[in-house]
Amino acid sequence: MLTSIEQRIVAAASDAMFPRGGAIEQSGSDAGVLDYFEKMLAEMPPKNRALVRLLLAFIQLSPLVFFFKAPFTWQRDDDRVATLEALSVSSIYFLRVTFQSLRALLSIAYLANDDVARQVGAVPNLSPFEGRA
Amino acid sequence: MSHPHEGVLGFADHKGPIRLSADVIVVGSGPGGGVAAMELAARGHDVILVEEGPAFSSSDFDFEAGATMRKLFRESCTRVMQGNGFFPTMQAIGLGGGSLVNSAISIRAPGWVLDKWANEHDTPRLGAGALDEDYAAVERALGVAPTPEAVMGERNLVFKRGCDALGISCEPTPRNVRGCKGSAECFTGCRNGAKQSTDVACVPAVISRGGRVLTSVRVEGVKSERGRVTGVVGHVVEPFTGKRGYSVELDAPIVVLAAGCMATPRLLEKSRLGVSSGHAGRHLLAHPGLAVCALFDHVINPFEGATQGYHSLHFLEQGMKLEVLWGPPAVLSVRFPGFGNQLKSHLVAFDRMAPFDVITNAPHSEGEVRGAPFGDEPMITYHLDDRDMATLQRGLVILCEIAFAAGARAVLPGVHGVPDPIGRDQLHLLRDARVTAKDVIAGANHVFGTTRMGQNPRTSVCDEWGRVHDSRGLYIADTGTFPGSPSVNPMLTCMALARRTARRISGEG
Repeated sequence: MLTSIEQRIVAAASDAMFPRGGAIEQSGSDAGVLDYFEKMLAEMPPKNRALVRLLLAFIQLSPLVFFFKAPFTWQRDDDRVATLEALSVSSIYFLRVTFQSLRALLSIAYLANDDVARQVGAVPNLSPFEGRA
Repeated sequence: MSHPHEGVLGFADHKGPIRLSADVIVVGSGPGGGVAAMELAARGHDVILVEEGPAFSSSDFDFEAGATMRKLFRESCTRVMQGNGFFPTMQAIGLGGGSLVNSAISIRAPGWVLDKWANEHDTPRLGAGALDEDYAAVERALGVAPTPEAVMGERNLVFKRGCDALGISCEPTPRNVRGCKGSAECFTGCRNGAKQSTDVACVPAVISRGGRVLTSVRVEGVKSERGRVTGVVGHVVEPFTGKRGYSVELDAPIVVLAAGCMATPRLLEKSRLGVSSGHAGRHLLAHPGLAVCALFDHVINPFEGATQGYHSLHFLEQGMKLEVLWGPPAVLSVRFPGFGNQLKSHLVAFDRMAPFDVITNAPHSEGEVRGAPFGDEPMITYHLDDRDMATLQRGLVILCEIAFAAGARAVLPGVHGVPDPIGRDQLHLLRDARVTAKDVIAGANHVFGTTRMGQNPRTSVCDEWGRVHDSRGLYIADTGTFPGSPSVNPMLTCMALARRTARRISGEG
């Protein structure tokens, strides 16, 4: 479903958003974000799929257009983090929304991983109060 | 006990073009449509209830948020209203509509709200007390009762403790559930089958009275002859892909549109009915909401307990309703700041976190629903007025005060330009900030007003019984008929009005 460049954008963004280590060991790649993203995109209606693709293209080109830097996937890891940081705190509303949208999609994919979900505490329990006094 | 969807016809049952006739066709099976169909069937009408989405059983619901959101919500849960910001809005698609995925909050609109509608919005027959009989009947049918203490959990109880400490009134949220176990999975569909969504509470009653329930059928137009409705046309649609299949033509002298306030005005527009006033699709009202996440030193375990077990109506007349909130971490984490290790550290702190939210009745804000240049989904605009934004900001401050009074060590306010998190001594930074719609992510899932009711055909789409002014036999029974905000969650009022409409069609009232 994703083109090869879109795959690179998702992979790069997921590892910048969720780098290996820290409070949860798994990186975006470790958690299978790319595979999940493919599935998510395939299940979306065509219009929304097109909008997600536009979002990815915007992420790729926004460093070039707004920060005079190389496209997102061409950047080194540190620069990608800097790009996301710049988007997240930008005074331009549309850039912040872009960041939020990307983060929401990647978070859904990241938290769909069972190990990650378990570390967050999201373990299904249909009767949590059963047997309690 | 038989399955609640026994007798419901789904996509696999549609083996060819469908041509049926009935006394009444109800379009949409959510709160309004479900109740209207049940009440009409109970009064002896031959009813066909039509739903675009499929039927979901408890076993179809998925704990994983993304999978559920793509299945259960229109546009894979990526729908937004656009205006002076982007405002996410969620509309369900499935038998039961919004009642499948909401937190089952069932509250009557206060009498002063109905009086306001009557006095300011041309609905004089709907003043305080006018809906009491219908409210009571719906509450009985759906098992509405306050959330019991046994399934509250600490997330709800800290909210109560904070309110109590500040002298802010609060109470257990009334909900339409039977046997809730506090699994906190309302948003992704109740896997315990406790929620009395309309597919559980109303559909079996329709079928037991001889009514027919067709899912995976999209109604695309209302047929009429010389101003008199004769039925609806549409197509069978494949679940999740929306691919069109066999044609559908249903004949009936009465059609009740309950497709929701985003879809019903589009149906009217396509059918060239109910549009003479020029108000169909306009006056979109909403309850924009914001949330904070309170961080505690002790374990909250927010993953357990009724999804929204406590709320406060203390500030209702000032335009604010305060609530405990819960949803999947993937959804709630949009409120968290930053990314990378900062985001991860917040994610692993979920067990000591309690999210609270404020919704406003937003009397100064408005939008509209129109057809998009391509595709079937509507184009939705909404402008969140600065005055309503100020109300939300005030609500955020009160939520923080409640959190601190309950012992929170910090709060994530989720406002651009305000430190995230803030401590008790930094609350003034949130209070004094100049916050606009662009500084927050304000969601709005309560939407209404696009086919508003009123006595004057020039300023409203339907009358106080939901009867469309310029068309005989056509009724509306969804939140689109609300002439103003109900100030509380709209489901119960929508259901009471739908029952009233059904009574009217049956010659009562």
